[in-house]
Amino acid sequence: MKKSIYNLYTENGDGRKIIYNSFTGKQVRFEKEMEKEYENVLTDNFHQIRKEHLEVLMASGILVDVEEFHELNNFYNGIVFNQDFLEITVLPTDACNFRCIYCYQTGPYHKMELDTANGLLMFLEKNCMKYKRILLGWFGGEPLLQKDMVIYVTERVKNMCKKNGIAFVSRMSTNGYELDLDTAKSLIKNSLLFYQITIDGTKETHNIQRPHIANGDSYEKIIYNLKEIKNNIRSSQLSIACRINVSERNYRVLDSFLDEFKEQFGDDTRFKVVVEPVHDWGGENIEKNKDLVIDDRLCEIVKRFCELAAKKEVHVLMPMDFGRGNLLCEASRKNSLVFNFNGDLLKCTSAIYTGGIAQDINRIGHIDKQGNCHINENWEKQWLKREDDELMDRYGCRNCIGYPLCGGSSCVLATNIIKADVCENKQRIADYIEGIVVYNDLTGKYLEIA
Amino acid sequence: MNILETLEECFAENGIVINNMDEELELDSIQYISLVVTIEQKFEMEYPEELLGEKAILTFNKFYEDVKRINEIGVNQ
Repeated sequence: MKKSIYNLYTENGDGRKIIYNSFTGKQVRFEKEMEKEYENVLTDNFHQIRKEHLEVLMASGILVDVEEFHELNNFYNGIVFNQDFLEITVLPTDACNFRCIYCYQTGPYHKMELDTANGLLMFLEKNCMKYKRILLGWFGGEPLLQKDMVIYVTERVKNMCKKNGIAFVSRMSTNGYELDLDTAKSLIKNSLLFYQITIDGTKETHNIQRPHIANGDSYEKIIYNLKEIKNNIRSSQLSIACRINVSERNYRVLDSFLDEFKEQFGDDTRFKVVVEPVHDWGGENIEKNKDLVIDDRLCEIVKRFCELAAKKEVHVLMPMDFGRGNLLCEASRKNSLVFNFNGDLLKCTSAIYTGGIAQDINRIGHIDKQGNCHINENWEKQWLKREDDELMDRYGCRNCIGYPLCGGSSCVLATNIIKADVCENKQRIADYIEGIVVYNDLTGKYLEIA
Repeated sequence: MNILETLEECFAENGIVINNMDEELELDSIQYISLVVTIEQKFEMEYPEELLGEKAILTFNKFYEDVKRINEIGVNQ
């Protein structure tokens, strides 16, 4: 028996000791009279720990008798090379009706033609029976600028899966402006159930950071759409993640944002909030707005956000909510592809705009209008390879508390393609975990040693 | 509507094979969500939150009992 290498040792505001384990996502809190048990864990004095407490510590993964790193590696290799699951993210357009001040995406703008979409459908008709599960994602630009195409493709893929006995779910990142009730009904009936919609704080801060190209008040429209969905659509599996990109400019309104969210959506558990910092996603816009970037205060902000959300009883979407490996980048998986508006197959939506060799290696193939798929396997391999020793040593993965969440692949563009000197997500993930600990403590999501 | 037959269709449409109605099903999140959505659409109902708990042991019979219960509540309302 030994301590897990993925334990975070901390304490809450009342001085009670806490251990969080990122392998299991479980958290144990020690009542003040049990501090000696906490010390026994820290000093490897396991034989001094009471039997019932040992059981709790083993069940939560804080104490283990397995080789965790190798177990995780096997787990991640299973995800990366899984043959049962196909994920396709479609970019029907790179145009957008917003001009967010930190966006990395630029023109000129394009849209997918019908015969390109039909090529994708033909490819799926020929190949879908190889899979047990298909996840269809929609991204952009703003995908709902091509809403007819989104409905057309999603409906056909759903019917294809139904006919072939394949589980099917679809998801979308959208600014929410075009997600009116009728559109939402059409999408949701075709199993497009997961939405990420960004609301950057209150009306005032949102409309400054995320202006519509013509309407100065995108906030009102988005909130109206979401309320219509909340009040009129009864589907238990619908999930709407309202993301706030926190910047130095909207940080001051976190409290108000959560109050407003609570008032409008707090009684519906299908609506949750997600916090992300504004960071340098690349592109010209962020160069002009560097003051927005908040990376160095992320821990403070995430903890504050989680504390406020917990006290206001607002549901927060956490990385661990989707299980271990949720921060494993989609591009690291063999059967995860991005289908661009022109029929190209890509691995990464960010790499579209990086320029240079990364942009070239990103284009791993093409699906033609007859549904034939052509893939450059050498380039594909670059995204999938897991050079364990080199990668683990370069980025310090082996003992990183984030490893159970990301498997060393939180951004394969950075690690495998650009070969960055350091892992930019290491500290970010650790900061998020600090926030998770606060949230769990305040919402009772922990096991107690008392 | 024959609940049992319709429920069997829901499982088949999601590629979930039933060997034994009391056997614990191993469903990942996509299979689970897709199955629940199929059930909700075919039976024109909404699963109440209390029946969707994480800790529920999932068997075909559990889903069958849930659907019967929800249908009865719907008829009585």
